[in-house]
Amino acid sequence: MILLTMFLAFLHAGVNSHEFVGRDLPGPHGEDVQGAAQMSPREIFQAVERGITSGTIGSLSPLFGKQVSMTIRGSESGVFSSAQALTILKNYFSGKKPAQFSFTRVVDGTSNPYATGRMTFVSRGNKESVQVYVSLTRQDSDWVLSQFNLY
Amino acid sequence: MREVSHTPPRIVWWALLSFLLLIALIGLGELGYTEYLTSRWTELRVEREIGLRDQIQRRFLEHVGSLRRVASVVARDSMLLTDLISNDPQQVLSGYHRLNRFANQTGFGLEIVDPNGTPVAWSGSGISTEIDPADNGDSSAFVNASGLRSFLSVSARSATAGLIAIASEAFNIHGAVSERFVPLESFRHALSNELGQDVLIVNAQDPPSSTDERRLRVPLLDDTGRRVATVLVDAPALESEILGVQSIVSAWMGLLASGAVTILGALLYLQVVVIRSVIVRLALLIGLLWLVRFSWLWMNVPSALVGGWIFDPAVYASLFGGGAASSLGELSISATTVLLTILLTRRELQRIPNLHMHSRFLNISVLLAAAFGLGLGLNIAVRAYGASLRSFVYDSTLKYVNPSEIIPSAPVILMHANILVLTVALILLFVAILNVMEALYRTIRPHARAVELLLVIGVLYTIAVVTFGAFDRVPQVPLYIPFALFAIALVVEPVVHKRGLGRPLVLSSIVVAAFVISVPVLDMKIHEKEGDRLRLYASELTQPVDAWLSFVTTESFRSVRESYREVVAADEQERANPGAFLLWTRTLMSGEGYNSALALYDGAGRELDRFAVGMTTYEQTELLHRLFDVDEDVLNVVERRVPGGLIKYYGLWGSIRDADDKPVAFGALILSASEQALFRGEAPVPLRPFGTAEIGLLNQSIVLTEYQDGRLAASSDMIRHTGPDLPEEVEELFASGNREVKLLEQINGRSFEILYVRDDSRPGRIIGISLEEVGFRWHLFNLVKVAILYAAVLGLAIGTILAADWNRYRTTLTGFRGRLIVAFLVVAIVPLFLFAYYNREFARERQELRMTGRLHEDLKLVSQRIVNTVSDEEDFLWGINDDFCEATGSEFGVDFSVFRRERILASSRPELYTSGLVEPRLPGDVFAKVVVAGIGYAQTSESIGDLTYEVGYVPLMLGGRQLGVVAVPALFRQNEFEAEVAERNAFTLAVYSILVLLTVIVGVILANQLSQPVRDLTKAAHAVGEGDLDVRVGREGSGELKELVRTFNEMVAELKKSREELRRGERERAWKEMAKQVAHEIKNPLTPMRLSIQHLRTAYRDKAPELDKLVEDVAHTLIDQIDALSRIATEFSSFARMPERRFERVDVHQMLLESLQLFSAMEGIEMRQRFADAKPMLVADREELRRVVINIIRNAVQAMNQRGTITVKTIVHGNRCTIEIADTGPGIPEDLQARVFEPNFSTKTDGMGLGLAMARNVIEDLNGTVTLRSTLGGGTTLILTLPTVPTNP
Repeated sequence: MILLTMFLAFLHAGVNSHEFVGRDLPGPHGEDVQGAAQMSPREIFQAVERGITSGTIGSLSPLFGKQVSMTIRGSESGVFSSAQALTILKNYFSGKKPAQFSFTRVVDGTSNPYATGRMTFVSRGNKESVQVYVSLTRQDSDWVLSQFNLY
Repeated sequence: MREVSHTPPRIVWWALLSFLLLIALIGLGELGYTEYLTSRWTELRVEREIGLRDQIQRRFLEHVGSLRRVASVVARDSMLLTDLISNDPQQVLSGYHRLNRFANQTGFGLEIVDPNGTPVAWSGSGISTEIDPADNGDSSAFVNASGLRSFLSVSARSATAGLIAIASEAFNIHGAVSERFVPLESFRHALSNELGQDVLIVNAQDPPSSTDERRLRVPLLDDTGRRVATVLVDAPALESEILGVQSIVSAWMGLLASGAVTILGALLYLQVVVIRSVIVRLALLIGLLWLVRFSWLWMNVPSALVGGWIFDPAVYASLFGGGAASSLGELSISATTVLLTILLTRRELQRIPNLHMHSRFLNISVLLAAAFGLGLGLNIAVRAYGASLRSFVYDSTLKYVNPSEIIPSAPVILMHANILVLTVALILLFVAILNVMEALYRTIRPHARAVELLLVIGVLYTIAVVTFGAFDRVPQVPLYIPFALFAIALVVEPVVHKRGLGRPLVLSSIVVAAFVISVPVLDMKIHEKEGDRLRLYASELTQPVDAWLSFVTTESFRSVRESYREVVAADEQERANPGAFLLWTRTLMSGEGYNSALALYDGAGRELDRFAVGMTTYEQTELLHRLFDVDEDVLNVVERRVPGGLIKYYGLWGSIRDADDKPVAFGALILSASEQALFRGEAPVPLRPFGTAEIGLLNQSIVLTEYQDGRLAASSDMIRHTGPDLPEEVEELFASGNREVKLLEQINGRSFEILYVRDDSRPGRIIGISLEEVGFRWHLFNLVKVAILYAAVLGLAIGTILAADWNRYRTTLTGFRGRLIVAFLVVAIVPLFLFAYYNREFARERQELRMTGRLHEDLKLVSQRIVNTVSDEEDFLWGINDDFCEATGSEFGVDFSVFRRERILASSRPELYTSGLVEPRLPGDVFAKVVVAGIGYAQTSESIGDLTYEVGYVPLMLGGRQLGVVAVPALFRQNEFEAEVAERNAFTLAVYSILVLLTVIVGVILANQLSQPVRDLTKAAHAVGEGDLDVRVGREGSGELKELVRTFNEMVAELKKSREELRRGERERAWKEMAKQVAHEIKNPLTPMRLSIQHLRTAYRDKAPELDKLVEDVAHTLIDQIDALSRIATEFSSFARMPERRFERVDVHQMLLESLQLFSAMEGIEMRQRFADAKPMLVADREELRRVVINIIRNAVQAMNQRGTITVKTIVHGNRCTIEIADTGPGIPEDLQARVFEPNFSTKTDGMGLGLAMARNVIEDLNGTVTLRSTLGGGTTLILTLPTVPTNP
């Protein structure tokens, strides 16, 4: 029975992994995050803003596309899966306390919506800032995050 | 009765307590230290700051000291310096040779300059401009910038002709671009690593660029006290200190806490393992196992202490199991835990005693439903397995298929090991569940035949597969996999059941099965991902405007403006020309490696400076011209059609204003979306957006083709330029509403998989991405690589088993067959490997020769063009410029550079020299060979960052005079070269591996055939040793072996005859002995009887007064003696005349358990049992055998004086079973050991000493043997060896 339960859990994880582009999935912290399917580009940018400001990077998971191009200054650079991107971002933000962040430029009327803004955070007692750039792309009929750059 | 001891050693409790105490102490220590830091931070900060400054200064002086030592050594080497300035070219070459050796040994760049500061000789990188001897002449340290890099140099003046020796090392690398393209070790890099933060170095003259008080400015002073540069470093901060302490503390506390949990888990295990209910026990054990695993995860053990790629999410990260697969390391731990879970489950399920016990709760429908449910469970497990493999491919950046390497990278090896572990776990799960299904069915049909069983279970499982498939929306494995697993389990199950898991042969079978299952699934996932990548690439290509490139352009121009203002504000003298290159290095586009150009103009529109990378002058001029057609600060996207298709350019121009908002200059910036950078046709770094390098996993060539309104518009492949228009089939599919179409097409005999994508932003435009189908050879190559990995893991596992149970396998391994196999392998494989090695080397040499030949051709072509173009030296100096090189390079399709003596004169890629990515002067040894010694050709290996390539040099001669030197890099052919090496790898490895496999198979067969008679002999000799004299060797072999076998058989026959005679003799002797004993024993009571009767007769004759009493006494004595006689008679009777035996099949373990049960209530005696996994059966009289065992145990109990441990152990080897009954008594002296089986021998006061004699009779009658092993003080072991019969009749 235990074995069966374990594999059911395993199976559930497998399903999540496959369809991770996030339709109506619960957030990692238990809160319900609206899937990307129902969100407009502007709403996605707002969700990113909220996630970064509140330090709940896990809440961004339903917003990522299957593959995310990611560059973090002095760290990772490449094309990663949504799960990798989320873990990399979580690691990056662990120990960093966002002090201030909002998108200063949001372009959402095109077929290539993107937003950019400066984030200030405190890391090991020092105040640092990075430029955040995110862009969306259509995956099937949904908008998803396809690029996430911090430099 | 207790099976095993469940009392943990005291040391375990102490360890647990120590761990808890340490955790508490560390926690308290952290609190105290944090408090101390906070309260005294003002003073501590000053101390830390001083310490930091000292540390930086000390490190700097160490570097300066090293450079000074080397410079001094060179300066004192007068012979070297004399050679270098000699007029004899041979001496110069010899001098350069020594200088190179110096440079290679020290890792420093070395330079010799004359008293005027003019370079005389050089080796390696370093200063490349003239220096001022007045400033930098003797023992001074100075920093010299060269493009992106700056060097720290120290000079030493020599007594030889006033020459100055200079030693240099990389000091600092400027600009974001360097991080990506020039990952060079430098002083800054080393210091950053040491301090754990990214430090900045500014030159001594640089202005303060930061007003942040948290940045500490540390001047770097040489040993004369002169400031050479300034280091900007984070000032010590309280929060940082506390966080640092917390991070160390949490890592160690995590380690200790996980250690404590693990110990606690082990303690709980001992308690759980005795629970009688199998289901409850299993559930608790699995819970315990996973609790320990997750406790490690929650406490970041071992990730917090290990780090590196193994725990890097950029390598692999998945959301499986709430972090249990968040990195390769975590995945490995989890996969091992899964395997342990399955092993545990299998073990516990095997212990379910008998389902008949519960049969009253079961009926046919419940049983069938349960079996069906288990089948569904297996399907769920298979799906989870498929999803896991999908995650391993999708959630990783691992390159599973890399043709250029024979040995995969460490992360890929680890991932394959994980896949193997999970696949083995899945197979074992199938085996375990199959067992349960069989047991369930046998509860209702105990005597069902194997075919019936297979049919019923197979049908139930098939129904389960079909049912599951109906609900599984996204199947994770091909349909045949669940059936393949079922079939494998059917084959493997009896082997595992009979031999156990820990046998090399069983393990090998399972690993081979795992290979058969995992490889196709993994291959399928890799192919799926490749398709997804292709789609993603297509979507990037059809984006109307790339937001990221637009953003990079605008952002870069913003930083140009800022940097310009900063530089000009800092130094008024540079107002006229702040340097386009310097500004470019500070932009995002340089850091991202885009082909780009930056031009600066003064207020009047005159061009001040320009820097471009990866763009021809013609491109720059055309694009700048079009750029200025649009307004200031408006992003302009320009498209140009080139042979490879369409390239987009993003451009922007605008004014640069000072603090008063007055325009002081203008800037124009162009960014190319092309991937070409550095050299013609070469893309050394995969650039954004998704580069083709990330697709085409098997070195397939990718061809991009563009169609407009169904007509071929452009193609990156020359063949497709003249190829057909859009196939009608594709047009029809698009017309029917498809957004993308995937087809297989044959083009010029090559098979391509083509993905056609419609560009929604441009009507009629369709992009075709063709990926060449890979040949069978590549598949075989990869298959072989994975097979080698699996074999290596299997080898490791088998090695461990052999080492752990060496005694069992020693004979096999060191025996005749083992040695023969090893000999065969060595003789067959070593030459193969040698052949493979030399073949590869030969291929490499051929490639190098071919490359050199092509370099020669290119050099000749370029030299001839230059010589034909210029008429004299002046013409050469003025006419051969970058534009000429660029045009000629484009015409010939080759990049080249021209040097005048040692200095760069012109290049088709001038930006490489401007940026300092390539040294702007000839390498010292090339200068010596080509310019000084006049040698016609030189070739060297050079590098840009990690990229190494060959460069060929030839002198440029005109009218017998050397005008300069032409250099052609072979880097643009590196891909071609590597592709060929990869192809050879693929071919040779596959062929060699098949040959090795065939050799191994043939070797094993031959070794088996040759060694079979010897093994038969050995086996027969063992049987004879165990008392079986009926054995004969049937296979005779040939030659000497035949003679040996015949002699052996005759010898055994003789032995049997002798033994029969011996037995007869022994029996006679025993009966005689017994007769003597009987006589002796009977005499004993007869004497008192006779005496009593005589005494009675005398008393009767004498009329004794108390005759009555005497009669009573005599009667009593007589009765006693008659009883004694009766006892003697009974004992001898039972020894001599056994009741008629009733032979039957006896379950040895069952019989032993029944015997042990009789002693279970005895105080002070601990009974232990260590039974073999296999279930031995033998044919005997059960009661008689039981009496033998009881007798032996009783003897042991008495020998131990009712206190101690008795261990009953069974070992099954071949068709014999050994029962060992060991006590912890005082042991039997050596001189008495030979007599214990004699009928009248006993050390006890009661009994006749017939027990062991009887035992031996019984065992020998069963064709068995009884032996004794005893040491004084070390206990006694009785060893019964008996022939067994098959488990199933």
